[in-house]
Amino acid sequence: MTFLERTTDVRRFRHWPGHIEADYIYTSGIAGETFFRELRENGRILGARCPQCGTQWLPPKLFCETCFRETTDWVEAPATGQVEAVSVVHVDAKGKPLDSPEVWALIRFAGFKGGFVHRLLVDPRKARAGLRVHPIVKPRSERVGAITDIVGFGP
Amino acid sequence: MRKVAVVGAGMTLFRRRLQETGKELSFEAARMALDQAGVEINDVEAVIHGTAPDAFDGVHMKGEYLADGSGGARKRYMRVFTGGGTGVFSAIAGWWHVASGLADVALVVNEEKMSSCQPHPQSVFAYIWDPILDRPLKPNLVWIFAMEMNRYMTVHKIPYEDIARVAVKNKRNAAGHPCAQLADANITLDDVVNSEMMAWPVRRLDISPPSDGAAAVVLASEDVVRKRKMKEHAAWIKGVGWCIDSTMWTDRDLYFPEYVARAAKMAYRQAKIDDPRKQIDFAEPYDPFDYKELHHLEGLGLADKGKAGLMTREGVTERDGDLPVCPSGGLMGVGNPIAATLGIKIGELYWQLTGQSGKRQIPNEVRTGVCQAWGDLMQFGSVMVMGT
Amino acid sequence: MTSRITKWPGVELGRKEIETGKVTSVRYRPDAKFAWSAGEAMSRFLAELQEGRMIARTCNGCARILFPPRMFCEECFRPTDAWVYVRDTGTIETYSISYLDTDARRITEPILVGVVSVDGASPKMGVMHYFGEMTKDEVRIGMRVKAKWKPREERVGSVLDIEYFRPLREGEG
Repeated sequence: MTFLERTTDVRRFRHWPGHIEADYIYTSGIAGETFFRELRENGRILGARCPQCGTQWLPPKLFCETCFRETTDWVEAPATGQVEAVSVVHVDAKGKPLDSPEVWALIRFAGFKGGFVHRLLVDPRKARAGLRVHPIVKPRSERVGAITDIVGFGP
Repeated sequence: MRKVAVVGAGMTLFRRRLQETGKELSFEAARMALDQAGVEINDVEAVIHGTAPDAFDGVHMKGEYLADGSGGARKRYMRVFTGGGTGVFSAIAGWWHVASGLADVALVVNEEKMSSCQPHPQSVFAYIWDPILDRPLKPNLVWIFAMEMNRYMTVHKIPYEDIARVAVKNKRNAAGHPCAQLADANITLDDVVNSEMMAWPVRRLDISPPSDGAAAVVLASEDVVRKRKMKEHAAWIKGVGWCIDSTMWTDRDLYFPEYVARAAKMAYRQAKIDDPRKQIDFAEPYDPFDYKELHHLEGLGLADKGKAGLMTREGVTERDGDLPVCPSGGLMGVGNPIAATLGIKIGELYWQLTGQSGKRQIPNEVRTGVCQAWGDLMQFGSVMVMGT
Repeated sequence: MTSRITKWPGVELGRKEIETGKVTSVRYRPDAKFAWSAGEAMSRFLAELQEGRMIARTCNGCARILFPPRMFCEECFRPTDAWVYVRDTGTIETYSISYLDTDARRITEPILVGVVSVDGASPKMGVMHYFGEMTKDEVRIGMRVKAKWKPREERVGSVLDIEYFRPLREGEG
């Protein structure tokens, strides 16, 4: 087989099949622990502020990326944020068509650097940048301290 | 090439499981190193991050992921990875940046969060084996260490006790290290000799544990050291070396690490050392298993082939001996968060040479030290010589 | 260390704290499947194993007979030259007696495994494999061994077409 003769399927030739099995547990970390706990207990979204430059980070980080110092202050995010960009998705992660399209967006909050990528709970035909949205959070009994405690963002 | 010094170091605790994310671990170690060096993040012109397989932390493109935690956001940044060799190799990559003139101040940050991998990092470690030649045999990684240890013991007729003594020395030494995971001031030779047999000849207490942790060092050029009056807490990099062998480990005689010897030769030539046993005052070779300390001492030319075990037996390698080896407690005593072992190899050389090792300080004056790391499938050696 | 440092960063966690949800975490299981292309050398190697033979490659640059075979010589860094069969006998170079299986679980009957340098190839050219028909007290470096092949119909083109290496008997090889 030379470079001129190509195949896209390695399984046509002698190969050794296998899989790489791995399983992971990711801790939320020091900053993440506070963020997820607050989300779970009180349904509130917290950011962190750098005492040196005043930048407010969402999601909160243990350290300010610019000053490289520990962020020490917790600040609650405003009740509403603004959609910066949207995408309407028609296939799932494996490429299979979805029953109905999903809307995903990057949502920013005034005064904060960063934001969230999350579901946008609007009709796909109405999805656009600029929409003012607020987080829709699961009832307390269903919240576990994960990003999915937020169902999505809606107008 | 310019002269380069280590001017500060930092590390986190080494533990089986830490709560911090990889980014947070990187930040903690890097912040400490910067504070110790008296340098700010804006002074840093290049950041070098060392971290072992993405598969341990379970984040693809782990180097990029950890960049912000390492102070690398919007900076000249690179990630290096040579398996277990990363602990010294990343500092060598840092040295390239400063020695060449590309940066006056560089920050080297190494991180490992092995606890993410379930049920045990061994699950992904095992993928280092060749898929066609080795993996069908369902090997356990301990087998390859056992085979190397067996070959080393058989060729030189080394009794097991001589090897077990290294575990005792290092775990006792680690009692003086504030970050140590497996320190044991009271461990005895019997404890090691009677520990559970894993894969003959390797027993449980011959092996270092998987760990989470991070470490960092700050490198500065001669000019910066002079201008900022850092001489008091500076230790100079005198020589660097590295070498890799092929993965066809079944084609090699494992009794001697040829690639470590070549890396050492490169470093010694740069450091103008032609009689290492006389000119080196102390050593931090890589000791993920106790026999590896001896194996590497021979590779580093600090002991004749087959004779390193005698040195432990005679107390030569104790902290108050003629050639202290692993005064930090090594991987055996402090822990093995792969790349973050930077803290007990480069870090230990730095702290010893600047008199900052506290309870672990070697009583005799030390002016020149050598540290070494080792990685991949019995393939890679990285060596650094540092001095006052 | 620097006597100035009193607190070393790092918050230790026990396994229970994660399992009981005392700290938040996310679980994820990537599902990566692979078909590793055997390539030129290994394809021939596996095909020959299925026929009950071991094959190597020669390098005229360094006059070595390379086993397992490869299409390039890593010493001379040039393509290798020809196929040549080697014997299915050899010598134990090193071994381990393992009480751990591949998942690090303890087993009571140890696995004997090691490296065999193969007759007909350059010295020390070897493969890793199991050892059988010998006890853990009998296995030793330097022992002469021979491959025990699976019956033809059970061979599939794998290193496991050899069941294990066993002691060479009188009059063999």
